[in-house]
Amino acid sequence: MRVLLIEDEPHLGSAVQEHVRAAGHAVDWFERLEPAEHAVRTVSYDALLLDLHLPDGRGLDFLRKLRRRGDALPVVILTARDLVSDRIEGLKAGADDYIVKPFDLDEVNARLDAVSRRYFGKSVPVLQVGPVELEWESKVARLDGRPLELSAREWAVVEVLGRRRQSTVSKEQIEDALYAFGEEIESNTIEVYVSRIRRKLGRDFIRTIRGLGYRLGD
Amino acid sequence: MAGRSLVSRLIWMLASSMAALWLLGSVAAGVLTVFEVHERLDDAIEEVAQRLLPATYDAVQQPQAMQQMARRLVATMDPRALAYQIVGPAGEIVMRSENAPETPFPVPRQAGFHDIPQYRVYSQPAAADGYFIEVGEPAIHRTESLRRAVALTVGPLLLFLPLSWFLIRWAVFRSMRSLDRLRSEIGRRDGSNLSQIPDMGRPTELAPIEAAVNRLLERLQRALATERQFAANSAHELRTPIAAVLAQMQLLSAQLAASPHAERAALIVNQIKGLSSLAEKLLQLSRAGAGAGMLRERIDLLTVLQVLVDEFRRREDVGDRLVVTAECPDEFIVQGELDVLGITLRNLIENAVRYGDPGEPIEIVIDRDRQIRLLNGCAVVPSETLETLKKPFVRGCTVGAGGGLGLAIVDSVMKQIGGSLTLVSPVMGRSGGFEARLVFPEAI
Repeated sequence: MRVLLIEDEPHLGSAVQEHVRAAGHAVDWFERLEPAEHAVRTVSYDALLLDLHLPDGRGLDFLRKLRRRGDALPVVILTARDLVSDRIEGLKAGADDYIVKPFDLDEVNARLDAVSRRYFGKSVPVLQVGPVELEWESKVARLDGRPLELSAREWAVVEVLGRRRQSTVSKEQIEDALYAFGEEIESNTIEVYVSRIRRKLGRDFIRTIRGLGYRLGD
Repeated sequence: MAGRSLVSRLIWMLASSMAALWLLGSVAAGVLTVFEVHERLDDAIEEVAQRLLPATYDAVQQPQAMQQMARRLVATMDPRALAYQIVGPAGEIVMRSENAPETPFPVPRQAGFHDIPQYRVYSQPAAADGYFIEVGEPAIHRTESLRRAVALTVGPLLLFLPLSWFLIRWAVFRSMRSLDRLRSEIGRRDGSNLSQIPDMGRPTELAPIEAAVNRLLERLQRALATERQFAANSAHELRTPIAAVLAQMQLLSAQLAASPHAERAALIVNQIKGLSSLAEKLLQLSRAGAGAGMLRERIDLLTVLQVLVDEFRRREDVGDRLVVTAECPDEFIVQGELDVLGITLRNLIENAVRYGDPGEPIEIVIDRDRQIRLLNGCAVVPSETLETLKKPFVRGCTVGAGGGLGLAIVDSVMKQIGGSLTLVSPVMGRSGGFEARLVFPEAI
């Protein structure tokens, strides 16, 4: 998942970025709304973590603008305002979830996953792909009932493909979902991850569609 | 002990002053009347004596003829009529009116008024030497005249006294109506109503009081608004750095997971969480104190509950354990402030999550009779502990202990909005459990 984080407190922002990244997601972090606005227009994000009080404006105005132009990007608000009226205002503005500071970093990942599941049709808790079973919530993959350990990045690749179950996903799309701005990507990184996944879950788990990309096999 | 009312005091003072004045006036009028009546009657006697002067000569010359004429002229025997005698030098009666005594009036032979038991007599030396004209006015006549004159003068005054009491009463009540309205307006101002007193064209004497009260209310409102703003800003200013410290410490704790410092790092994470929770509760307590008195909006509590239930159900430690049963109609209107009511319900749910048995459901029951009950499973809380739980910094148990402020906040808010918080354990019909029952007053 590629996540946009807008948070002006540097220590909090860096910690959230690091923790969400450790869960296998790519995180672009901005401390101001203006560069975030450019980013959201140019990159296809899977979720937005949004602070409300920012140096150059209110997060809620940013969110309203997003919704007015029809952007359905899942949004989780991170705020110090915990009142019911603030929460109602946030949800009315189009937020999908609301986390009050201070929060547990694991809670952020859990909420991101929950929001993502709601948006990308992963309401089915278990996806069966041939002999492979994918449990989205617990992030467990089983081959013939035997649990296998996937790294965060490997699971992220599986998630990107699983989210677009019926489509072919290009290498660039996978890169976009997995790597934030400025992160070093080797030209064959995706191939390496696909290869590792195939070794664990079987050759037919991911099919290569020549010249187009990858999709989950069946 | 309450003092007497201002109205009754005013009526009593005005009526008694008026009565005293009436009485004084009546006495003065009576005295004056008596004096005047005496003077007029004396003048009349004197005048009669002077008119009889010419008759003295004839009476001396022809006593028989004059006596008969006198009897014809004054034939009355009315005991109240004036009686006269013309008395000779030897004390014999030469002529007298029919109603005059046959013996001379027992008065000295000298000019002027003399009082004897039955008459007031005026003696006037006659034209002939040694003769005296004596005109007597029966005492009964004078007494009656005086009594009648005094009654006619003082009577109406005394008759108007009760009437004046009614008039005073009416005037006082009418004049006090403005004060009464002002008093009632001020009486309606309390912790939950600090609105300005409307201008209703009050008398000039009350206008400064109204203005002063309005200034005070405005100042109080500003102070409470500042307090609320401070609480809201403090929440933001305090939470963000705590969030940063907690997040950084959690990362460090994860990095130290395999090191000897792991335990200490985890301890610091928990300490930060505890500090964060305590700061939050203190801010809530401050906000609840400042906020409960500020606004009296009509809030649908079901909407507040819906937001909170949705929030809590997203938590991994709550999820579907939170069960809501609504027995009331579509809405549950309460007068208060949205955020303060939110803080109240949030604290109750948090309390149930924190101290409730993790395997048991947390039930929220919205009753028809303006009650909301929160039930959670736990061991029986002793009755002596139950009442102390409403006090700040008192915890029910040490397991999963919070700041000990949650129920104190709920209790404080409920008291301010005129409701109540009752704690019950065990839950009725069960062997254990804890119930927090909120009873809300009727919304106006």
